[in-house]
Amino acid sequence: MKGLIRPLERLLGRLTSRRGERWLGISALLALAGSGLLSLVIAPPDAVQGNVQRLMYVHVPAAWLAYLSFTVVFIGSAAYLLTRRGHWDRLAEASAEIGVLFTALTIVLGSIWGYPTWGTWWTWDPRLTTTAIMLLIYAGYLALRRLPESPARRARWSAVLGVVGFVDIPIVHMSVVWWRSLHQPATVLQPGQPNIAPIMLVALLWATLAFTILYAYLLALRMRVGRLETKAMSAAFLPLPREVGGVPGAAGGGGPGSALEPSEIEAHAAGVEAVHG
Amino acid sequence: MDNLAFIVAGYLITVISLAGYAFHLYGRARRASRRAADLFANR
Repeated sequence: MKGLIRPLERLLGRLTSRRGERWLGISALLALAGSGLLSLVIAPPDAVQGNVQRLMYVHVPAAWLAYLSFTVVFIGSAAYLLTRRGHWDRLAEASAEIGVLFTALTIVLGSIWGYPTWGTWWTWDPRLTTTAIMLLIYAGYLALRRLPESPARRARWSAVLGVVGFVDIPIVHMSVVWWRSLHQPATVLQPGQPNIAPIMLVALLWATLAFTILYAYLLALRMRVGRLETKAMSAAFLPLPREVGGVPGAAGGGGPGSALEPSEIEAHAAGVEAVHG
Repeated sequence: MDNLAFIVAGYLITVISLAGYAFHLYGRARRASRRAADLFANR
């Protein structure tokens, strides 16, 4: 398990660098523009539902991204519990925030699609109910992260919830198989051939790819926010110049005549990050 | 196009919420960066 962590850390470092972030942002924009063209112009309307079925090209990718986000929360949380390294905790926090957004979007889009097709905005169907529970679990996870606790303890508790909460994901996915449901069963992830016209499948897969790139971009951006906020926190808790033997009033943020050298500031920031995430 | 209002509403909500979240993160990153720089500079 620990042998897997190093390569994952390298991949994460590459994706969340400033260069990787910029590259992901441009790719996401291009992929989303292509997806809009495919799903609104090129793909034909559904034979039964008509044009309203076009909502599938945003509803299904949003649901897939919610699953992916919470799987990343699970991986980040498990890796944090194994290594106690702050960047895994930051990865889990970033992915949970994005996952909650995508889950809320899935529910809202499903509701907008549901009214013209089912005749109701909401019903206590197994898929809808388990998805609502998933939203509550991860909203609770984000609330837990706001507790005024020591950062190390908060990270540990959140990691435990990040691992335990993941149990709901396969339940949401399998709910349409295990229970009688109004929601249609899986179209693409089913045994045998996907039950969908090839051009619609292409539009759906393209939209899913575009949303996945967008997720990677948002994750990189959110992790940068986490890094910067940790840096600001470490700056707030740095000892005053006289506490480290400097001349009072001569402080200059590590510049000439400063009590703290840049290397000392960096070392302190890294220390805070390692301990508190 | 049938049910046009539902399609427009769905796509608009998607674009506004995702773009809004990205802009929110940009603002947060800028504020955190400025705060860290100010705190280091005042020491």
